[in-house]
Amino acid sequence: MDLTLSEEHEALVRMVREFAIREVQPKAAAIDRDSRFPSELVARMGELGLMGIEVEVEYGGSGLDPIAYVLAMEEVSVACASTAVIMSVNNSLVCDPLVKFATEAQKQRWLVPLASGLKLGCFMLSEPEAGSDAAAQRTVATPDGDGWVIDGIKNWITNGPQADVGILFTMTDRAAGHRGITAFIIDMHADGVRRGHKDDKLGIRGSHSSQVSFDQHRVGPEQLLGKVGEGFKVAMSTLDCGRIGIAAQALGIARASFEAAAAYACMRKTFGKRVIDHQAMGFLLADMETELEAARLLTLRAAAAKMAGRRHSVESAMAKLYASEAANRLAKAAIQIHGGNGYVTEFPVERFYRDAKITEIYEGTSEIQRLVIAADLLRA
Amino acid sequence: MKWPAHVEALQGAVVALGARELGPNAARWDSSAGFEPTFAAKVADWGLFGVSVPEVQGGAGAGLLGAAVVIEEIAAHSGSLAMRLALHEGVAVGFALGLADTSLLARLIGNGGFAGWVGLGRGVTAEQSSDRLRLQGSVCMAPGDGDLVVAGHGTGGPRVGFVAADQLSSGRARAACGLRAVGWTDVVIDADVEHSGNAAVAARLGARLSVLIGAVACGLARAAISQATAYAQVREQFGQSIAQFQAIQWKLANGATERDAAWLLVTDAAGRLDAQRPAANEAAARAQLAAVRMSVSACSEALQVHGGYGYTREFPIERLLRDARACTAIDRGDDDLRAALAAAITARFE
Repeated sequence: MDLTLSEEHEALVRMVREFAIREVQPKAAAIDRDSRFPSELVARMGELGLMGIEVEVEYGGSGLDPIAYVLAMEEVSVACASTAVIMSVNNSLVCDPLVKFATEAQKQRWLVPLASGLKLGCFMLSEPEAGSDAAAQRTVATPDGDGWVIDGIKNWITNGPQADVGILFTMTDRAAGHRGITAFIIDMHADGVRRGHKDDKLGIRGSHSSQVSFDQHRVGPEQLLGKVGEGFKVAMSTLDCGRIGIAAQALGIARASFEAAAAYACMRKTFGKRVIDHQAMGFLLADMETELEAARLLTLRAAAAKMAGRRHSVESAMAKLYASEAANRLAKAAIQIHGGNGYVTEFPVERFYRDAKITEIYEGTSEIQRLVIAADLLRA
Repeated sequence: MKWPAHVEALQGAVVALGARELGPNAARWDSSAGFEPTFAAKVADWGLFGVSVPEVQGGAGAGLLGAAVVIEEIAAHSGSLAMRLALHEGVAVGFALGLADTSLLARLIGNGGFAGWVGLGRGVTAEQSSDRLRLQGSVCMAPGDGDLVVAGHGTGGPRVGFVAADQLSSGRARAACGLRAVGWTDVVIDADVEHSGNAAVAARLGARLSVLIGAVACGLARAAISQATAYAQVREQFGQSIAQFQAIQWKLANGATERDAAWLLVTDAAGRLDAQRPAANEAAARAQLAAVRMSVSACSEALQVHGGYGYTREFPIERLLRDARACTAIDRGDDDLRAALAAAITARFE
């Protein structure tokens, strides 16, 4: 498999890197410190075509491929993981299922403004009692005339406080288990949709998440996404793609950690020599870069599999599992290399450490990824 | 993973060869610590010498990437044969590819037997005169009794030269823990050689070998994970197959993920070396570092899945673990690789 980047990919990297370094990175520490949602950066990402990277141009997107998405995510994540996940949710978890499952009319109404960055999306699957066990949904959609009435609570909804549009998963036939789940497209400003307070989180503090509750919220048939009872398929297919985005986010955090640690180790002196010249530190950096490159290749492989139109559940699971755990190891090592300076907010590595942790949890925990991978091995 | 068509065709041929010729004999080669005297001729007939060599020069034209794919496949059956080929293809063939005189390459692709490698840091001295390189030293545990590419230090820096088998004195055969059929032997080198290269050549050969050692390690790990997966599905404990326990599933999932990560590093490095892209030598060092470390861990965990049976020679898993462990001692070790990578990081960030 040739994972060499094309000239178009290289050009995209240059463009996004310039945006990330000039506009995102200088604000990243303050965004984190103030838990501030970076509206102006989200708007800029819309202008730059980063909110619907893989969506066709006719639907408001940039018409690029999954590898381009990974590259852009990595660059933004190096600068600010909070900003990156806002972008990731809109791309992977909202635009992607609309591309795959929406009707033409739905695409015109919902996808075009989302992909062009005029509106922001969220993905509502998790509930207080249904995280990794997605089939344990309690949010109910009850038939009502030609539509449905929805009641229930969704949890940890990234972009929840700001989103204009949501992809919602409900139970329409409890007895049918995961075959009783149905997906809808939600106007987040409509009656019966209420957003809770934003969650106070360990990391990615500039990305806001919240509960979203539904109280007798009515949706029409034109808001049904896919078919009744196919919501689990919509969710799993979406997460297969979303995991590539989170792997790319983790890759970016890992790279930021490595680059910060390497630069510090070449500058800081102890016992009369540079930190990197101490064997324990130099070897640690060698290991860090090796893991970073492995994470990159697994992530690009998953993107390449998606691009080829192949089923890529296992590739996505491996990429997310490895990249997220590598990001955590690298961020932790970066703090260690910084010593006491790594533990204070004057240096960015403590933020990388806090931001890295979420990548092992959302869009399928590491444990879920292992289940996916093991099930595939045992099926073979 | 998808490869170019000619690499896929080679891989397919090696899969068939492995099932027919290699798998059934691997345990015997391991226990007798060697191959039959005529085995190298068979290997030549199978077209396994010169996989990385362009077709116009008589090879298979698959590049180092093709060699890595072939060697990974062979390692899943016989680590020893895979390592012999890694040394032959990575170093000896790589050395001959850089020479204007094509006779050595022809000898290595034909039936000249397996060639091996003695890398830098093994106590060999190298003194270059106007047209000859003199190599001298006593080396413990050189691979086999064939031709050797030997690297040594001299007043002008590192040099590397090709020493024909008849210029070597073989000493004591060493009983090794793993990769036993490579045939580890002490040798005394005192030779004037015609074909030689400088430090850059030594580095290029080291990088080629790193990639192919990585391929050996990945093949061993793939076989171990595959065997552990199969065993876990038939072995029952506490009223269910042990594959139903998450503790076992986690070992398999971790092993497969780490193995794929390492294999991507190996194939990426091979592609970089084939295309002569920048920093390819660093990519090769990372590939070897990750692959060998992963292989020891994956084979060890796979043995653990087998329980007590894994510790017996009734199952091939103990051989895979011994071979994986032996990979850590071939050419540059873990610490050498990390030192080289740390130096490269320093150069980029200082």
